[in-house]
Amino acid sequence: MTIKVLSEDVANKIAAGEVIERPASVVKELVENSLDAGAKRVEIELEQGGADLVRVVDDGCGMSRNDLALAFLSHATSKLTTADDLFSVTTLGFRGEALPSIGAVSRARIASRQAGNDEGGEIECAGGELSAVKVCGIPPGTMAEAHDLFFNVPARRKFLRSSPTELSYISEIVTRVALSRPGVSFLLRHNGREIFNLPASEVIEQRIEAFFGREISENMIPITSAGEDMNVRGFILPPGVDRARNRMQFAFVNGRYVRDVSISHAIAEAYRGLMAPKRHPVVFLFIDILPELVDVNVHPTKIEVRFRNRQAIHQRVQRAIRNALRESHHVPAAVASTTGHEPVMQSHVSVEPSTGGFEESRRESVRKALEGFFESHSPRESGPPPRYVHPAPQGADQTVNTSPPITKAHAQAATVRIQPSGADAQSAQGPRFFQIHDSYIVEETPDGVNIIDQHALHECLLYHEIRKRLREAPLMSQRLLVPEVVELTQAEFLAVQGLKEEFEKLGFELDDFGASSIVIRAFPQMLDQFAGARMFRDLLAQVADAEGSSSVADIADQLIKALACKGAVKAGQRLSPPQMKALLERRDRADYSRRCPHGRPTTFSLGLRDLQKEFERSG
Amino acid sequence: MKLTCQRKELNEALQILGTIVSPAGTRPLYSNVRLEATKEAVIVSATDLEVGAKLKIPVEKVGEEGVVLVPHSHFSAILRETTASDLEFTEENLVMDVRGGTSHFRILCEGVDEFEDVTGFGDGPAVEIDREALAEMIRLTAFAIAGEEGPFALRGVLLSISGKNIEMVGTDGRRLSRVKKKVNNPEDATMQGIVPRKTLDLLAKLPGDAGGALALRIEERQIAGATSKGELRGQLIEGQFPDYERVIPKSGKIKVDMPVAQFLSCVRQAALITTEEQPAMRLTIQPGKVLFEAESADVGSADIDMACDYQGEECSLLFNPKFLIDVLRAIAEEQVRFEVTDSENAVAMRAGHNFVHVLMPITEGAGSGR
Repeated sequence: MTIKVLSEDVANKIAAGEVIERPASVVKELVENSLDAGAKRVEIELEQGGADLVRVVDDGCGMSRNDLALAFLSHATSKLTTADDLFSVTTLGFRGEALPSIGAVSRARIASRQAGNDEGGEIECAGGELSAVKVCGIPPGTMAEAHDLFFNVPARRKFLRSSPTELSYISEIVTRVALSRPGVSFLLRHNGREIFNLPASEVIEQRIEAFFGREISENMIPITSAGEDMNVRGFILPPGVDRARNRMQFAFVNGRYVRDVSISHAIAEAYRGLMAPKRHPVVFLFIDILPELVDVNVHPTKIEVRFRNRQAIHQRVQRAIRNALRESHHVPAAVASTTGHEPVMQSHVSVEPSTGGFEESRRESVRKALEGFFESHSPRESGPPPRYVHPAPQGADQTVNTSPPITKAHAQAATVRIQPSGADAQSAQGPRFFQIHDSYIVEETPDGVNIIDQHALHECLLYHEIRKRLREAPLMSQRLLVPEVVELTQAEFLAVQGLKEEFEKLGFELDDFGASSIVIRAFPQMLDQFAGARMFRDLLAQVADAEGSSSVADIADQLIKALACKGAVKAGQRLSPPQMKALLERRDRADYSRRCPHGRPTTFSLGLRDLQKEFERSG
Repeated sequence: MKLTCQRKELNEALQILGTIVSPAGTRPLYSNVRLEATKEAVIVSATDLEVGAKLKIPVEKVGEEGVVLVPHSHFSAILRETTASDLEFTEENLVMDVRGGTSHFRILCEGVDEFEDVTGFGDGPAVEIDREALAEMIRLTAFAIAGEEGPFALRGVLLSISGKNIEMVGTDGRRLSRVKKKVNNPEDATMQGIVPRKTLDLLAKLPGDAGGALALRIEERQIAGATSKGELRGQLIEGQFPDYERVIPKSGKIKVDMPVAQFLSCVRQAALITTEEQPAMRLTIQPGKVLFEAESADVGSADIDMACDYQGEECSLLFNPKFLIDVLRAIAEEQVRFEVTDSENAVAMRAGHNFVHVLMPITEGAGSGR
């Protein structure tokens, strides 16, 4: 084998791969250039999810014809000159990689005019081949476009996803940029259809409302914390207005959207004890920090940064959020100081702010948060005694939806007597089982004992059941008395558009409602209870998380998993003996039951032999 | 404290309070009942800080007044298992002696200082309603409310009082029950609130004299009820109840009167064959009869006929049989009027003058090209 120096063409394509992954990266780089050029208005035009065309037009300072000639050359940048400048970068771009990368993998063209010049210039770069700079007429500013992305890298082109999916990535990028610059107006068009048109605004609130709807904007709590070397400001949402994923946590450092572990951790810590399990708060954070205290040159996409002092950032963010939560009465003293149950319950009763100024929804959110706190703390930690099965035939009362609460007397009796009288009757009627910690079913088997994760088992059964039924017919839809309107983010909305058919097969009946809301008229009957917008968003989030699954079939499968997960009994949910019995019987009839769709085991078996060994019995 | 009391009455009161007290281990203080002896009566109360009740039991003799917390589990077990008709209670230094017949128990008690007692009925405008009428209203609506996974505001029944009218509405988004009755409203009060399930159950159980009335008041955040024998107070659910008037169909295209008992029997039979995950039953109205059909790939099929007095075009809908069973079990009338518009819109079931139940059908999946 001989070692060769790569040709410039190949080298550029490789380098381009790091910066330009998909149309959204082109949009990101071009829009950041526009902002660095001081644009007040940025217009983005797309065709076919950006795969056929990305065009960004701005009214920024423009480039001279001499600059244009250099624009597509590697590491040509107007933004820094010496290595030292790297440590005090204030522009969004600086590496001089963006345009050459775009030029290497598409048919790119830039036309630009500086405000002082009478005429502008244009230059083209197709697959790395540069044209000469020509004179052209153009209003002041810059127009940059990339046609046929990856036309010369078929392997990459093949990996582009459907146009709605690519569009949703772009929409996410534009959302981030637009949030960081409320003073700049943004227009996004796809195949001629307007997707956003955001006027410049003094305040960020309007922009947040435009993207995320009133549920968010009306409940926002401002946070602020000023310091010598760092300012933290922004908005947080109270517990209750939360999401199943942390995608609604936006952090901007010096106007640049970043994802940072210490910031995420600080947010989680600040909300600790207030969120229901597996829920994530919604947060918009704007951190201004001296440029020399942060290194943005960590990765070509610049989404990761490195702070000189992570500790300080963590502390400031956590404190700013915690203070705001406390001032807005979302951190009841009891929750903050102790995990005891009584004080929390009292705050449940009395925490409602007495000032009439709070909206209904805010009060509800407190309630929900506290409720969530309870769900996560009381039943499991307190460890209620196991409830033994009284396998009375269900008979006439099978439709009564709650089993009679077990009185303390019963419960205590069960803990005291290891062999309750009910157990004798049980053995005559088949296998014995009972629930522990409201989450697991313990079942006696002929040669040992099974411990079953009730959620995982039910989820597994549902998953296979849904798949089986879908082969025959769409799922049954339960229609709603009052159709439910769900406000979505643009990215979520587009995701729904791309998956409409799959949703319908699963029993949803959806219609568009305005530019970014949908109305749900029916939901899968399999979901025993439809919990509205929140549940729908959770479903979407689970589907969106299935990164890497490209075919519609994969996404549909993801949706089935999500539906099975939603439809299954939860950990922490008390089951009546007949419910447990039904679940175990269905397992016996099912073909697959050992692992849930996510691959977790559903059952842990312990053999009699193992038990005998543990107790040093010679069996 | 020293008193003598009828075992049976105290036992009944403790059974009712048993649905309120906290399970063992979660909040020890509130797994107790508060026992108070006054000159006129014994008062037992319990609360979970969401809802609480205070019940009054007449006594033979109060020897000495006093108040103490008694663990509900043991107290009620003793009342249940002992056989004497009268029990004598003597409490001193937080130890209570219970004597009856040949039995003698000593129970360790707690002081009441930390215990947040149930606030009584209090003053203010209130309405009066017959206890049994209220229990019937609760029976007709409470089954339709949303479960613990459902939307927050639907986890209770909306109770509204205006002029002489009292109205209760329960819905879980798929079905809705509304019932109206008359109340005695001397001060012409207007009030409204969403009452959670547990409080409804207690309201229906609150003891009182046979044929007696129950006083009811909805305050800003709480509901209060009182009878001659007890008082109750519970938190309301705060939330936006949907605009339910517009989902109640004015009048259906097809109207069929059906005998409730037979209707229920047919639905229960068809429900035997439905699948567990997607229980569905087809109800077809034809001239002269109603047909109930169900099918399950794993089990088989069922079809059941019921004669009816109907002449008109055929109409067919799918339902979750559980929902039909729920409402048919609650209706006390012999006949129900079944009103249908088409296979996708809500049906209305009316019984008597004051009750309507609205039920959304299910469809065979929007993807099937309806």
